[in-house]
Amino acid sequence: MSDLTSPEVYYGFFSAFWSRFFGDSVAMRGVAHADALDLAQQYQNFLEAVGNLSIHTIEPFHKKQWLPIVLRRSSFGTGPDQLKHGSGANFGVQPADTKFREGVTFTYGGLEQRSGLYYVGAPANLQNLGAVITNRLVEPSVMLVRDSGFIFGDGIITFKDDPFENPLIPKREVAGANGNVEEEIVLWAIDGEFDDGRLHEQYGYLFSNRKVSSESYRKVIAAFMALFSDGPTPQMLEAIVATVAGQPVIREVSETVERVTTLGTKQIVITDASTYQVSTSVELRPEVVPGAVLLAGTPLTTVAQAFDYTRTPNWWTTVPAIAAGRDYIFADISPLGFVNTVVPVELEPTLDLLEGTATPARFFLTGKTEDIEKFWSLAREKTAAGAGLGDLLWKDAGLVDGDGAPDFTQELYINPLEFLVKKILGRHLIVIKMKVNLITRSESFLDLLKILKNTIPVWCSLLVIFEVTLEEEFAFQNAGEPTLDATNLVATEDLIAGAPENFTGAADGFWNDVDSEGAPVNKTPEALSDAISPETITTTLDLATPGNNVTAYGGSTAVLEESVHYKLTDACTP
Amino acid sequence: MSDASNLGYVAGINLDTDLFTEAELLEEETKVAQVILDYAPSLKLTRGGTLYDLVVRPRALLNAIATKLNKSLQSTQSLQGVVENPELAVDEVVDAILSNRGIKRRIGSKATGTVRVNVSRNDVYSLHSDLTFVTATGLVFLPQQSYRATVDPQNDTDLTIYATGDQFYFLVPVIAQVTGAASRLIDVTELLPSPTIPNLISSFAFGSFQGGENDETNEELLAREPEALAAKNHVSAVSISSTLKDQFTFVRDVSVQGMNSLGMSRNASNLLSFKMGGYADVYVRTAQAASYGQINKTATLVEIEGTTKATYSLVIDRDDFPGHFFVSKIGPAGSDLVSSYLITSEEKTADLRTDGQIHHVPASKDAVYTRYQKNTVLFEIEFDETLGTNPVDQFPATLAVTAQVAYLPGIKEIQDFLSDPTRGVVLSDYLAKAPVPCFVHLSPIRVHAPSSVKGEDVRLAVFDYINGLPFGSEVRVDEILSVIKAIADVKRVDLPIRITGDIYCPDGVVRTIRDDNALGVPSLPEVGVVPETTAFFVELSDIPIAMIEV
Repeated sequence: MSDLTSPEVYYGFFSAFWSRFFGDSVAMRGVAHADALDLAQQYQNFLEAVGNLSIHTIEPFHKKQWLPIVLRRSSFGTGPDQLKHGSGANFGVQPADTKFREGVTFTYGGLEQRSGLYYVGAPANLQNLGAVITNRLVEPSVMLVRDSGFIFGDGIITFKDDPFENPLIPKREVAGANGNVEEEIVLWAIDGEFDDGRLHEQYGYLFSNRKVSSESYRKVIAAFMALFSDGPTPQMLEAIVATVAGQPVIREVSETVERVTTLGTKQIVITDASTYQVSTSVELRPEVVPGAVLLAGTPLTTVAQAFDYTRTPNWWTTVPAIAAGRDYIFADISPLGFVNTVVPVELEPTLDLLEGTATPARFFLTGKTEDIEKFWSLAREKTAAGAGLGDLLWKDAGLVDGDGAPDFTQELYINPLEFLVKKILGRHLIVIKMKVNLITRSESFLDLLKILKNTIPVWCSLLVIFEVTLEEEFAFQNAGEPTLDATNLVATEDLIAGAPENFTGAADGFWNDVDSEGAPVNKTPEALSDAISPETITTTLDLATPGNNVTAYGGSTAVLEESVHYKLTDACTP
Repeated sequence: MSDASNLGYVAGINLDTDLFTEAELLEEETKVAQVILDYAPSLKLTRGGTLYDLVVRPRALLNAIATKLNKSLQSTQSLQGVVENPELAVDEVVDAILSNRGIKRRIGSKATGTVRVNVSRNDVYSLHSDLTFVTATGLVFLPQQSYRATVDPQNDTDLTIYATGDQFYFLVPVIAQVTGAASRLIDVTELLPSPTIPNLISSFAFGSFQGGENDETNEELLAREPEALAAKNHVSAVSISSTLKDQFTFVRDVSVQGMNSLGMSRNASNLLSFKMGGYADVYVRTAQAASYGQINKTATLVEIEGTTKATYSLVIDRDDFPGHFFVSKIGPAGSDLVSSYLITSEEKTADLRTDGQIHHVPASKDAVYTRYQKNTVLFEIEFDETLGTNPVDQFPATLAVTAQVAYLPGIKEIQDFLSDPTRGVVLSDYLAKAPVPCFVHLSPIRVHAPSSVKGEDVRLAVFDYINGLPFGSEVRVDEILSVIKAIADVKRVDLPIRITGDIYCPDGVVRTIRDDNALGVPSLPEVGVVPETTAFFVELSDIPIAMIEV
């Protein structure tokens, strides 16, 4: 079948009169060419419609094979938009080294002026342009090549030279906005990609209100759909958290790693089916080595990981503490920290109950003093004869006398976190661990959490661990006089551990032993020398204030419970 | 060819320039003109010129239309696309798309109720099934079958004639002619029989009508489309919700409270109060509004207080309206329940006789609104001196009564489905629960509108809004205003609108909440009340509307 998108073939369908005898046959050739181009565009549209039938084939953007770029003298080099809050512009004269043109004065209500001289605003939903811009559609005499003749980004097309000064680009006179006559030129860009909202309209709406399309978002939606239909298999969880974090996963059913190498700032993983690249700042998973056979969905990096107790029983050993609040404990208390360190178990006075006696016990927890007391008080209230926490722990540890009764003359030490994970919650926890600073894309993370909550088994709980890199030092400042003074610096380690005895005198002046509501915080040295007090970290670092985020979360590992993940996610979003 | 199958376009009718913008047409024209001029630069191809109009514009026009049609085609591939394109949003297209996801539109139901017919003579009245009762707004109701009204009923199709003063009345069960919530008549709404009934004095709704739900809207379908993707099992919250809605088409909303949900507490009955895995409470809203059913029971005398009154006990067993909300009325057996004995208390406990699965229900409140709920109701009867008998004769040890119970249907069936060993998940302990009900009352809503706007339409819009709120929502005054303002020709709605809610908490306490802006469910997990376990219900009679003609 002839390809009517070829101008010559299309022209051949005209009768001989038009192609051989008609006086303006050249013009007819042009008409045929125009029709052929439109047919090609309609065919492109048709293919996109077919592609929409599957999340795996949908094109995130609508492609226009030819896109006119209309330039007018009056608006060239200004715009395209009114200045927006957060764009980085300064009111008045623009300083150097910004994306705006140095020395230009911005006024209220005016248009932007970028750092380049020759630019034009692109349509708002234009996401990408092809390699060239030409002056004609047929046999162009001017071809501007991307990144040398022009650049596209941030919603504008910037030209290396002034197109109005190029004699090969035809100009015409048109009526300007004020009724004056001005010059207009039309350039042609190939393969303009427009975000027409199709990804959201076709699939994205099922999971999110986010309407901005991208290829990576398409992958996230595909992963969400697989999670819904296949359920939260371990492999699926691994794949989806990696995908949402912007990390590569194995694409084909099975791929064999052939080579792992480094090129500049990228690590390159070459398999028999694909090539993947990741930043050298991230760690490849240990199984990503030449010869390894990796299945579809296997993540290549450790930036985002998912664990469960049955496959990774010791996941907790590298975690300093877990905070358990009302989500995990049915009591009106703020989160209590179960720290990953060995502490003594203290026996409490024996209870005389109707059915017999019981020996309660307690061990070290961090958190608000009143809530710690409430937690242990509640445990005493629920104690049944012979089943006090002391009775249970001593028997479990095998510290019993000849009759099998608890031998309280012997001392008992436990690791509260190990107790929490192994004896209470571990087998019902799905753990997601993310290195926040290395996530390349986080905008879908809240969608993921919402979806995971609804797709994990209802008898399980989701624990999200954020690993964040902290600055080495923090400076306390007076909010009214935000000046940096070296005497106010404290070591991050001391701040996290809550060791004010290591602070300088000036810094200690800023420190206090109450939380944001004025309630005492348990920060005894023996309590915090090895661990984090979640209450301390959430209240003293003031996660809700964006200005604090950069320094607050940037070194060691911090673990916070899921209920504060929203603050963390906001704080850590690049 | 229908509009739907033609993507909404009818040749010669609506294929117009609204399909594309001026800018889109200009872009097409620019491209066509550019190519022709690239071949023949000397051609005079200016806008408005003959050659331009004959060669450039028609091509541009056809391309713009083809592009639009293609875009419409793409929109029909998704429900979101259809909903956003009103010309495509016809039920045929929506249902066709949803068939790919295995979703069926929930079909509405017809309202049912009872019409009280007052007559001047004690006679025998034949009521044929083609008799109609019509409201002033034109809503039509039919007798559920042919009846005979008589003081001496002999069979099931005979209706009893009661005497009241020098008049007589009988009660006719009726059903709406068409589906929809509009037919949920409020108590004492007047209805006219056609043909008329001999000796008729008046006829009106006897109690508010029940049932009567609209077909599922496209927006409601859109909201449950993601669930359709879920694996059909009882593992995750989304799967449970999806499976229940597939299995029980009357299920309108589901809230699953799993391991560490705020509304889950029965999994924390351990020494350290830690919430353990293995449990889920599945709250299901199975109807827009509460249903009211009647049951004949035997009450037991508890005590006689001298010559003043007696207290009786009535047990609503776990199989009598499973998971019911409360007992609203109690009267002598067979009475019309116009009035009620004084109900003094209800005590809901657990009846956990095994039916194949043993559920962990550590406290009575955990069984409330489940099919395992047993309700012991105490009510009082005043001593009637005029009867001339003594208290012992007047208050027998047992008493036949009729009780009216407020409930949501299907709770037992859903529990059976969740517990079915061929479907359930091993080691899982799931309890199906009716939502904790929060019955909403509104202060009078003053609506300024021309006479063409009916108060019933306003009331129905508010009814649909409140009873359609999903778990976790608030009743918002601004939303109430929005749904009223969406009715054509409504000019103004006066503020304030005070919203009051009575939450029938599982601990037996009715807690009242009020707000003038947004009524939200408080977080009281210790009594099983959090937004995710509680649903708002409103009766038409609790939406007072005052229409002010403008």
